[in-house]
Amino acid sequence: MPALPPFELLVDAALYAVFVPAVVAAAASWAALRFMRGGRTTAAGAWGVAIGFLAGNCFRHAVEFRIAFDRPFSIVESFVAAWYTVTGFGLPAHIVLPPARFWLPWASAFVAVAGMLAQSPRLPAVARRLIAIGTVVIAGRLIVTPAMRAEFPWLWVAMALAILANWQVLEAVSRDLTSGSLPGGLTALFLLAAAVLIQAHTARFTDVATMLAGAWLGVAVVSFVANGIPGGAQGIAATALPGLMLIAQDTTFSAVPLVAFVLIGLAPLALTPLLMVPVQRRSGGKFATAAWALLLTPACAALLLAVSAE
Amino acid sequence: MKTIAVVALCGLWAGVALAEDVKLAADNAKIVWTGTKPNGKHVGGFKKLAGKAVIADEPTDLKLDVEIDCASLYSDDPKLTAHLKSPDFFSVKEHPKAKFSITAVEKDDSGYRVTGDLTLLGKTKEISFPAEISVKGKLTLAADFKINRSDYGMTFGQGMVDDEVSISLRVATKAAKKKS
Repeated sequence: MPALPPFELLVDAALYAVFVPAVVAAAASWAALRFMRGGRTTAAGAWGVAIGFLAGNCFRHAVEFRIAFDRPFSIVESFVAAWYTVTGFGLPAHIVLPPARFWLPWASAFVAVAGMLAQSPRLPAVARRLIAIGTVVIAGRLIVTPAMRAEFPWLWVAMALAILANWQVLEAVSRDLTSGSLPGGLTALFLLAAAVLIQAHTARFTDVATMLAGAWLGVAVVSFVANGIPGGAQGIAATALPGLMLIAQDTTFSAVPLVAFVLIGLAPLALTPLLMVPVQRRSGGKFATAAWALLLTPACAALLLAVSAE
Repeated sequence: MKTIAVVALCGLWAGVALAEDVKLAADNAKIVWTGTKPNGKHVGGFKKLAGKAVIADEPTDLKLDVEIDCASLYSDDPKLTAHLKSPDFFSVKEHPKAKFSITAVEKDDSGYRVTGDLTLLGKTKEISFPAEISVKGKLTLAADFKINRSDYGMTFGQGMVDDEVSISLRVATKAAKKKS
């Protein structure tokens, strides 16, 4: 068993990467449920996870929101860089492309927002599908940057399909997993992701996973108390899990096997058997327990593989 | 008139003849760093580098360019080495090379002061440090100085790892090849 980090670092991580995101996410999603019109079914969860994550990042600085560390945030420059990253053309010489990790929060937020728009009952089913496909294509190409695409041309398609599949499964089971079951399961999943990432010797990506776990914990508490589904956040998990694991696998140096990263990135797909359960039986403690077991089994296997390799 | 031309040509030839190229590699150039944190320190360096020095009669005419292979980074702990290569620090996958070019060498009271451009994580900053330099047939250079990693955007872990990193630079070439 590898040695744990020093105690003071663990306390620091627990405070700023778990507690702060959890409290802020809970407050934000509760406020959204209480005051936002239609918040219960659309935006409260996504809002809570996003604000909780940003609050943790204020202390941990795991994610950069400026293209260059020594320049202020520029919307135009970021937009131009995003355009080139997605399309592959139109990059002015003075803009240096940021690494893939820069785009991960934007891609996750984009999928969450597009997912909420696609839920509009006014839209026909075809339009919803087109929005979903277009969204995952853009997210996939943002995360798999031109440099990665030059090395593996098929990788962005695989990323887009992974996000789409994760997203559809999470959306489908979230309707039945009320009272915080799904956010609670995702909290545990992101904590296991953090444990794998620390085996890959990356504190930055470990922090990203831990802050997302903290934010999901806050949403889980609100969901449990409100006995409802603060919605919209499934897109964040569907994108952040495979995106984070791909970027970490690509940029870190460790003996953690590829399959460990894949198992975490695609863990939501393990919930697929639940969709075969008859609708009238998709509730109660047994259903939630089965969901937790299915969701966390591949992640536990990934952690075992990572620990034994390192 | 003819005499002046001959003298000028001789002078030019002499100037050219005195400039000598030496190749720099890991066997004749060493870069060692010491990173510190509140409760300890770690030592490491780079196993691969490549470059060229152009030495003349005087150390003040020294030119030097070196490219460092960041993937060859090593330290006193293999797990730390992996961590240092990650996006937390050197981000080796995105920035595989670091570069250093001497732009000026000036004589001062204690020896020489070297000024140069250091490129790390894609950012170039001018640095200046004292050095002992000798260019008698071969180049020897010894310098110990500090750089601030946050100047290059290496900001992760501030508070847990000190910003200032000590660098020890040693160059000791064999006899130089004359430049034609």
